[in-house]
Amino acid sequence: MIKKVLSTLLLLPVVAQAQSAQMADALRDNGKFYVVVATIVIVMAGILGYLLYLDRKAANKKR
Amino acid sequence: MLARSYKIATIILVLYTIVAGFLSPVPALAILNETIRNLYFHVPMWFGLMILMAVSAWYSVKYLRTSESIYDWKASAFAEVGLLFGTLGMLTGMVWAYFTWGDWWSADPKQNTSAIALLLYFAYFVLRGSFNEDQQKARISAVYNLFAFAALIPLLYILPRMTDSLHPGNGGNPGFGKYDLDNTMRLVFYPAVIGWTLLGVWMANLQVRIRQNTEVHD
Repeated sequence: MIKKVLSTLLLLPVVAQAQSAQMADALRDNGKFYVVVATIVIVMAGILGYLLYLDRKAANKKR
Repeated sequence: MLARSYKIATIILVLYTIVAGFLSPVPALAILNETIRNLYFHVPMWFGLMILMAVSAWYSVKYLRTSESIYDWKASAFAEVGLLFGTLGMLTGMVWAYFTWGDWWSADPKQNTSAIALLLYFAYFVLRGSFNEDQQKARISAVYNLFAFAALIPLLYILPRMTDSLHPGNGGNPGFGKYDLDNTMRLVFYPAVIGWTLLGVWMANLQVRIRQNTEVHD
């Protein structure tokens, strides 16, 4: 009995560690697929931001 | 005709890159996982920067030979879009690094040298902003632009290769190209480089055209 409890207690951290490795970490889910999504969002945001800047520049000059 | 066909090519290539970039099969590698697909979005930013800066330097040479302000505008427009691409390459690289190398900034040799390269080009625009007289501004910034381009090549392609680096392909780290970049990936990667670069050319040309319209109206 005591042996059983002891071994469970000793094993507990090992089991807990193996299970708790998975954290709420959306960007690492699905083989880090969302890192690629984040990358394309950054690229498109930059390009669209530049487009807005060009648009404003063109509008200013017409006046 | 040429002006139109390159825009059509841009649209087709960028759309193809996004669809094939997300859906095409890629090698299953530890740590990299699906982020290997960033090859189609992060790496072309730097290839694009290199090509756009080369075009910019070419126009600076043309300006110095002819003193026609159109070449100065073109040089500055291409450098501006090149710098945008470099900034996007830096940001996307930091995100990628965080999830594969474990930190946004590891002071990796290639991260450091590309940061220096971007600062050199930011300085080009600071320099341009500091002149009142147009001809003086065009001439001195054309000379500076050639200096910046000459520094860009060792900063991006020579110095990082001389030491160990987290970046693939540098300092005895074979990485992409030899083992990872298989033929299926090449089928997306090369169109991606051409597509994103042509998009940059398109953006720079719009910038030049806006500038041309202003000068006529003044």
